[in-house]
Formats: sequence, C-alpha cells, structure tokens
Amino acid sequence: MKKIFLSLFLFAACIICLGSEVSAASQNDEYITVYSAEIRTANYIKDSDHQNITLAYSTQDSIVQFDRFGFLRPGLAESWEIADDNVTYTFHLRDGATWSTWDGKIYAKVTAQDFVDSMKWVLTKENASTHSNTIYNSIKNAEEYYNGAVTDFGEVGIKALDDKTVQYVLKAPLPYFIPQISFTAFFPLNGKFMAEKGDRFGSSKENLLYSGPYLLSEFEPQQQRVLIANPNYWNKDKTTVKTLTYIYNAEASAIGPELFLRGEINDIILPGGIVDEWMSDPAKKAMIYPNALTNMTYFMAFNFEPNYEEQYAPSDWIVAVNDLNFRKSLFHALDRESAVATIDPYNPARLLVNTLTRKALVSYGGLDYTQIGGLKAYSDTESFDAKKASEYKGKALDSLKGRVSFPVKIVMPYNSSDVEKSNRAQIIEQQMEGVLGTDYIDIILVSHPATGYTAEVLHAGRYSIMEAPWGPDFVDPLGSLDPMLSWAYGPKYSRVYLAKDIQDSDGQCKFEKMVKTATAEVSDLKKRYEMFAEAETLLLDNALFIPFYMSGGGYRASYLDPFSGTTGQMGRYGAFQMKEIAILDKPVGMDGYPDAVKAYEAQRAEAAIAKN
Amino acid sequence: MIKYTLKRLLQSVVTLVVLVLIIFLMMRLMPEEGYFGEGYIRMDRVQIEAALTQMGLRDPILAQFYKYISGILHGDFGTSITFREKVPIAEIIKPRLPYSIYFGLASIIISLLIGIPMGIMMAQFKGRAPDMLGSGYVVLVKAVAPAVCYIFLQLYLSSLLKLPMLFNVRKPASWILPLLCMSIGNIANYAMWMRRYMVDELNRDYIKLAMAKGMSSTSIMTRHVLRNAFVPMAQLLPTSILLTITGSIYVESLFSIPGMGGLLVLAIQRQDNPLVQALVLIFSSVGIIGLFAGDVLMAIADPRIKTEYSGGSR
Amino acid sequence: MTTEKMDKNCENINAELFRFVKFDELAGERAGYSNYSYWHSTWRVFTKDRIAMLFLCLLFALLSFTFVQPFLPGQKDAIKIYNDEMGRQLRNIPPGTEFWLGTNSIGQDLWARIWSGTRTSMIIGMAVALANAVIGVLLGAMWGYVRRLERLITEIYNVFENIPDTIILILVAYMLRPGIGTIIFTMCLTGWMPTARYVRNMIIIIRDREFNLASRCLGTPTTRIITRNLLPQLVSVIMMRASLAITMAIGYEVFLTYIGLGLPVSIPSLGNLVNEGRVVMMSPSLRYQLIYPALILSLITISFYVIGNSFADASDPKNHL
Repeated sequence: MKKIFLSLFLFAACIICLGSEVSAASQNDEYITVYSAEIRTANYIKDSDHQNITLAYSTQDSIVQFDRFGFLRPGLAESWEIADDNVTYTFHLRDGATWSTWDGKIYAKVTAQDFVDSMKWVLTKENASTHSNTIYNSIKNAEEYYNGAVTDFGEVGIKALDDKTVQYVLKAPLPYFIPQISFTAFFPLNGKFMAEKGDRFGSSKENLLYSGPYLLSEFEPQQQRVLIANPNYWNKDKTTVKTLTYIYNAEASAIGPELFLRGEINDIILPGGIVDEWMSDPAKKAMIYPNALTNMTYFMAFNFEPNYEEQYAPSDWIVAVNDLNFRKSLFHALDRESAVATIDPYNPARLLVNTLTRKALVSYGGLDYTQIGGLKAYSDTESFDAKKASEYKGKALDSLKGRVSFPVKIVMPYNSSDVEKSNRAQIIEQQMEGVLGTDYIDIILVSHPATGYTAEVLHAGRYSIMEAPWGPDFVDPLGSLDPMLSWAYGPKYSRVYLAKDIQDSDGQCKFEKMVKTATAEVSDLKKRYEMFAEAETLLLDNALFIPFYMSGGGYRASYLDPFSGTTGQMGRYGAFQMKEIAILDKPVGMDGYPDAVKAYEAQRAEAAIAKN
Repeated sequence: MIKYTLKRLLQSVVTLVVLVLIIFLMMRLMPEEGYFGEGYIRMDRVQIEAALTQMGLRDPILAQFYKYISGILHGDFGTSITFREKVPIAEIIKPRLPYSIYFGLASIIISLLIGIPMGIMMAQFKGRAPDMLGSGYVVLVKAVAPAVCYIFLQLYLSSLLKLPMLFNVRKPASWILPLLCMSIGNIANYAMWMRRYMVDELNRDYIKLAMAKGMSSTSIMTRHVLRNAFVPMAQLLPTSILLTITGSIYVESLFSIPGMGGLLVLAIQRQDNPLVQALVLIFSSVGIIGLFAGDVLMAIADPRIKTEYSGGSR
Repeated sequence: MTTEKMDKNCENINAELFRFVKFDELAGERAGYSNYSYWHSTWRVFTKDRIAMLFLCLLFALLSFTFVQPFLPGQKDAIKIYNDEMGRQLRNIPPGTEFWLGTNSIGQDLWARIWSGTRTSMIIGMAVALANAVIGVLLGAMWGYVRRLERLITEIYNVFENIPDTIILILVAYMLRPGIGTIIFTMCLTGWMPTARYVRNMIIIIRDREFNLASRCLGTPTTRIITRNLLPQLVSVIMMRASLAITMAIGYEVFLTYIGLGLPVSIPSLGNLVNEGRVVMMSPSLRYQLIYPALILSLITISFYVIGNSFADASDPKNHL
C-alpha cells in the first residue's frame, strides 16, 4: 500500500513539474552522448571489446602515449631505452603518477611492480583474459607461463628493477614493440587493490583504481556512465572537458540524431540511412563532419575449403576458385563503391582499401607501405572494372568448360542481425550478378544470426565468398597479413595456403614462405616492408582475395573538435580517445571540415619539425 | 480452499522446476561464441577453453545443474558470466526493480482510474457516441503496433509539450511520457473488459426482472451490474498488474528506463546463463502468482465460486 | 384479472365464430418447424454490423490486392535494387510517379516491398492461425473427450500457461536460424493453448447432453462423435480464435524483428519494414518509410480485430433474436 501512495505522489509530482525543466547541452566542458552497446566489465586487462578499450583510455594511463598528431610521447614512463640485443626494453617511470579511487582520493603511487602484477594477472589462465595472446606473442616465456610449462613468474620477461624502473624482455626482436606497449593489454594494475577486490575488480566504480585523466563518478550499466576529470592526474591541466556523460539507450541510433538536434546531447554518429536528410538540409549539414575510419578493415575472402551443403555444389566451387581467371573475373566485378554506399553514400571512395594492409599503417622514409613495390599499382587503381571482369569471364568460361556446371553457385552468408550488412549483401549479389550475368554465377545469400556467426560461418568454412573483418594488433604489415596465414591464431580464415596457384613444387605455400623470411628481418625496416609488400602483391596478383573497405567512417553530428584528443599506436585509426578532447562552440560542419583538415596537417608538419 | 491452494502451490513448484530444467538445458545448447564479445575473432583455442572453464561451462551438465539448484535453495542465484562479469545476479536485478515497480504501479493506477470509468460509460451508452468513441480508441490502441505507436508519441509529444525525450531520475517531467505510453494499452484493456462484462451482465434475465420490477437504473448499475462485472475483472487484474510491473520492453528501451523489461532479451543475447535462468524463474513465478491471486480475488469477490473449488478442477 | 371477470368474458364469446377443422398432417408439421438456421442467422446478425462489414470488404480488397499485385502491369520487384545510370543506388527517393511510395535506403521500391511484406506477414499469420486451429482443436477435443488423456494434457497446459509467452518466443527464436519456418514454429508453440481450452470447455459442456448420450449408447465410435456431434458446435469459436491469431502473429512478428530475432532483411515483411522505418523515423523527409508500412499493418490488424469480435458476437445464438 505504501508503494501505491508513493507512486501516486510521484505521479502528482510529475504533473506539477510538467515542463519545468528543459536541459541544454553544448557547454564546452561537458560531453554528452547516448550509446547502445554496454561493456561487460570495467576491468581493462580482461576484455578487449571496443567499448571496453575506449573506456580504459579515459580512466587509465599507458606507459607511453601518442599525442594528437600521432607522435610518440612519454606517458607513465618519463624515458626509456632499448638495449643492443633489441629484446630488452627499460622504462623509467615518472614521479607524479598515482592511483586514485573513484572519489578522488590518492590510493598509492604507480610503481614498476604494478606493471609486473598486471602482466601476471593477464597470464594467469584462470583469469581468462582476452589480452593474454597479445602478451604471449611478444614477451619472453609468457606463453610457457600461461600454459604451465614455466611455473616461476620470475622467468617471464618482465622485471621491476626498482620502484621506478621496469624492464621487459621480448622473445624475439619486434620492431613495433614500443607502439604496442601503449595498448590496454600492457596497462598497469595495483596488485594490492586487485588482491583485495579479487573477482569483483572492475565490476563497479568503487572496485576500480584510476591512473588516467578521468574518474568514474557514476557507473550504472544499462543506465549511464559519468566520468569526471581526475584531480590527481599528473597531466590534468590538459583535461579541458571536465565531464563525460554516456546515457544508455537501446535505440541510440534511432533517437540519437533527434536528441542532438534538441541539444540534449552533443555527439552522435548518424546511421547511414538518414545521412541524405542531413546533407540536404544546410542547417544540419553545418553540424556534421566525416567520422574517423577505424583500424578494422574488411576484405572479401575466397574460401578454398568450402564446408557447406551439397545442394550448393561445394565441389564445383573448389574447381572454380582454383581457377585464376574465375577469381579475377570476381575480383574486377565487385563494385565496391556502390556496396559501401550503405555506410557513406556521399563519399564511399574514402572507405575503400586496395590492399590487405590499410593505408597509413606503416611507412618508411615518408613512403607509405601501400606504395611499396607491386602494391603501388593496386593502390592507385580501382579494382572494379566491368570490361576486365567480362574479359576474364570469357577466359574462365573456356578454362572451366566441362569441369563445373554453370552458373557456379556462390554461397555468400551475411549477418542478418546487422541491417547495414544485410543491405550490403543484397547490393553485392545483384551488382555482381548484373556484371557477370546469371548464366555464369549464381550468388546465394544465406542469412545467419549474429550468434555464432564467426565460429559457425567464417571459422567453419560455410561460405564461398564473404566479408571478413580484420584489424592489425600492432603497427606492422605482419599484423595485417595474419588472417591469411595458417599458423596465426587458432581459427582459419580463407585458407589461402590451400590455393594451388601459389604452391611450390614441393607443395608448400609460397606466400607463407615469403612472410616467414620477411618476419625474420628485424633490423632493416625498409627491407622488411619490401619483403612483406612482395608477399602481399603475390596474393593480389593471383586475386586470392578482394580488398574491400575500412570500418568506421560515416558521419558524426558533433560539437567535438575532430582533431583533438590523444591517439594510439594506430594513430587516428585506433580506438577513439577522450583524453585531451576539446569541445567547440559551434560544430565544424561539412563546409568547415576541409579547412580543419588543412589546419591539422599544417600543425602536424610543424610539430614533426619541432620534434626532430 | 486450503486443499485447493496447496495443490496449486505444489503444481506451481513442479512447473517451475521443469521450466528451469528446460531453460538450463536449452542455454547449454547455445553456440560457445555467444559467451564472448567481438574479441572472439582473435582468441586462440587455449584462451577460449580457459574462459569457458572459468565460467564453469566445462563441468558436466549434471554437476552444473546440481550446483545451480543447490545455490537457489540457499538463496544464491550465482554470478553473471557475460552481462556484468562476476557480479551477483541479485545485485543486477535489485537496482532495476524499483523503477519497474514505480512505473508499473503508477501506470496501473492511471489505467484503472481512466479505464474502468471509461468501460462503464461505454456499457451504459452501448451503441451510442461514447461507446463508439471508446471502442474506436480500444481498437486503435490494440491494432497499432506498439513499436510504431510509442516512437510517434515520444517524438511528437516531447516536442509539443516541451518534455525531455529520455527518462532521467532527477527530472520529474521525464516520467510523464513513458507513463503515458505504458498506460494507453492498459486503459484500453480495462475499458474493453469492463464494457464486455457489464454488457454480458446487462443481458441477463435477473436484470430484466429488476427493470421490470421498476428498480432505478442507477441502483441496478451499482448494486447488480457493477458488482457482478467486477468478478471476472478481479481474475484478470493481478496478472495484468504483474505483467505491467515486469516492464515493457519497448517503453524502457525507447526512454532509457533502467527497468526489468529489456533485461531478459539482453541476457539471452549475451548468453548469460545464470541471469537468464534467474529472470525466467522470476517472470514465471510472477505469472503463476498472478493467476493464483486472480483466482483468490475472484473467490473473494464472488462467494458462489468457493463451492466450485471443492471439486478441485478448473 | 380475477376468475370471475374471466368467466364473464367467456360468456360473451360468440360460438358461431368458431368451427371445427379436419386434422391436416402437413400443416401440423409446419407449425413445429422453424426456419432458424444457425449460419444464416449468424450471417444476418453479422451483416447488420455495418462497421464490421466495411472492414470485411476492406480486408477482402486488401488481401486480394496483395496477392494480385505482382501480376499487375507496371509493378516493380520488391527485392531488386534500382540504380541510376552511374550505377549508384536510387536511395531514399520520396514518393512520386516512378516510385509510388518512394524507395528505401538502398534503392528498393517501397510500394512493391509493402505488398510483398504484407504477403509474407499474411502467410505467416494464416499458417499460424491454421496450425493453432488444428492443434488446438485436436488437443482440445482429446482433452475434453478422452478421459485418459485429460490429466496429461492438463499438466502440459499448466506448464506452458505459467510461462509468459514472450519468454518462450524469445528463447526459441534465438536458438533457431531466422526464417519464416522458425517464426511460424515459435508462435505455434504456445498459440494453440487458448483454442484448446475453449474447445475443451465447450466439449465438456456438450459431452453430457442428451443427444450425445444417445449417440454413445448406440455405439457410435469416438472419432465420429467428435467430428459429427461436437465439432460443428465449435466452428464459431474456432473461426474467431483464428482471426485473432492472425492479428497476434503479425504483432509478434513485429516484436521479434524489433528485438533482432525476426526475418532477415532480404525477405520483406511488415515487421522488417516497420523496423527499417523506425531508424529513419526521426528525419521528417524520410518518415514516409515508416508511415506507409505502419498504415497497412494497422489496417490489417484493425480489420481482423473488428471482424473477429463482431463475428464472435454474431455467432452467439443469444444475439440471433
């Protein structure tokens, strides 16, 4: 009965207060947005989901950082040196770095031991951290410790030499280790606090310590998350936006744009379907700018070991996919721009990648990796070419005659929970069949729910061609080529090593051999990149996959300065960091964006000179 | 009555056990990928096995079930495995309950206050303007998909009345729209039921007799029709109240209300077995309690019904 | 009136006004005959309800158009993506002469999609209604008539009835691959119950009536009793339930799509169209993508709802006078 009265009272209160409060966002020190994907835990060394990493960059600090131009700078470590053996890295920590509790009290100093404790936690199998492989792929004896072959953690390649000095020992020289150590997997952790909280570490704002620019002042999953500036952060002067508010809404993409227009939030990514409307309205156009691309790329994988129902004739597919002309006809038939118009209808070309390794991942002497050697030709030309496609179709019709029955059935699964991807699948089917003719190929769309999509479709090989995602874990072409290798990670992607065209006389995969020699080259970066580029060119020459697009992109209605905020090892392609973010009085807008880019590039060039 | 109650209770417990067993087995048939987030694509076999073992999913099924049941008997629903790792289920559900209860009760009260008089009016003026208008409303509300209806209400009413679009505990004005959305359906239900039972009652012979005797129509309405029409209403009400309290998935997700409504869907999508089991248990218990309370209420409202229970059949 | 008065009145009757007639067998039979026919009366009462008739005509027109539409001239393909000369999709074209109801975000014709979606949803609705009617009647009849099965079915019924429908719906839909078959199966899992209960209650009422007792005494087989004596009495209930089941199935389809467990987007359905429309709902110039599908959806559900209710009234013999 009490509750009924309470509710009645509340209802009365509602009526009385009707219309009394209308909030307005867009102050320069407050960031508000809505989100629909919730994190599982705030434990940053447990999960490697996108949302988790984004939060970790706000609440924690890394040992080294990248400024807003993507240049390396000191973080928790003031300085570091690499020994001549190329495997021993020594970091000297700064004085002022502290652990704070959620309410802003200093808990302890950040010490070298914290890095050791963190790695030990990640490498303890029972903790089931998804970061463990990132660490054991680089650190000495880490994998052995994880698997139990080594039981003494002292043998693992990490040591606290004293309170302020931490030393890493790698299992082999890695040219990309310094950038990689800025990743969440290597973040420190206060061992005492962890021991106190045990399993509950990261499950609430109280169960987390903060070494970064923000504290979690409210953390109510599926409701809201409020971050406030950390008063104890060593670099707190650079935190201009004092509050970050994230409001949960299961339909964030549907109602977010309207909330933005009403001034209730000041940052939202527009769903692809409504971009038209925002572009055609000048007032709205002045509030959006192109969203950054991410580190994740998609390529169209050809499956060399199909594992699907007989009705789709997998044996025909095996014959066809091993025919170079057939692959090339598909390679040139895919109009990638029209396919990615589902994400960005105005500038789809921006999303495209022409190689497996994305643009601006690595460069040597000012030359981007994708311009090295044979890759240049591919980077500079568009793969879609209807004329070439039908040319190769003619050749394939000859060479495959009598060996397969036309049209060749091509199974293309798609994730039916994702409207954008489902729409893209429909576009690709009709577009490719339109170019090549339904007498030649028959693309069969097979829907699959999001659950088990990766394991049951991609890893199980239940496809002929499909959009496969990959993002390099570290700044090296090797990181991008991983999905094509038979030994990298347990699951297999396209099983390219089974392609007959790139096999040596002894039955070994030429491509994998080339990657192995390139990986072994650690001292001469130029040579290393050239060798990787050569291996990648081999794949492209044989049309063993179709480079497709980069994820992210689209448009963002936002008051944010698009070029503020720190970056990560992947530069502006990595997880979006709120550290040192700036909010403008008025959105950049589509018209102001080109100038903003120019200004940023100019400042970046200046900073580069100053740095040298 | 006591015998009947006991029998019903026993039956309910059996139902719940069967149900939990079914859900338990069904959840274990789900693909393992569902237990992981987007990081799954980069995990190797050893890592996957380690994670599954840590979640307790590699124990024999029977052992898992035994552990779960004995946990429940000790009042422990276990900890979440994927929704909010390592957080006890009770801690996840507890902060959500008040929102659902407040919204549910407030909406029920509004609906009863509007729906019942509306139904009575409709019955009294059967076939005339008020009845037509009311029926039009009922049909409209019942037929327009809530998925469409609520988003329109949210968009137009919030700009028309200058109300916030999203719910915020600290802003009382933000309660209005979700309450309205939650109530329109119930108002239609109550009005419709009330009207139907009243009309049924009005057609009965004893009413005709009462009219023939010359009883005033108000006293026929209050002393006979209303009282008797309330009997079937009494049976429907508890279930409807409980269903409202367990939340509306549409309203809660549109207005960002941290209630119980969308929790089950989220838990199933994340394959958080302990959470799904706990929620199914709660929702089913609520359903059972609703039916049971309905029967009891009806028996109180209508003394004749008690005798029927001696037979023990429904 | 007292007896005395009556007697007085009788005395005043002129005997000449009366005469004897011969016994006529035919006329005798005619007197005992009533031209009451259940179906005729039901129809008569139903047609009196003008609103219901209006909706019946509307629904009939709508449904026949849905199935005729693809064969009409000038129709577009619901799946086909329309491109301009540059090979770019004709996205979000507002309603006009080329695309009557505009196009969606990838250049598919909304007009064709709405009708194709209506077809899909109607097929789902009808299949569910039919399956529910068949399962419901079979189980209900066995439940009410075959005493040995009564206990078993009661227990099954109790288990299912105690679980909120949505839980079963969500769980099963999540576990199976999305598709028309899955959706129909999921909805049938619990959909049969109300029909079965109605049928059972009716059968228990009828089973001990005299005509039925007589049949049983004469040794009529159980199946024949069920089909001849009992089922004809239930037709009205079954039809009403079926029309409401269609409404319910369409509503559930929208709900399942909403929570991401519906049909894949490549199969147009009302649920899919509404869901796609919801995303662009907040943009005034794209709102048509939600309004048109929602309109058709509402028309169909309102029609079935009104017709079902009105039919339920009409089929009640009490209203036939």
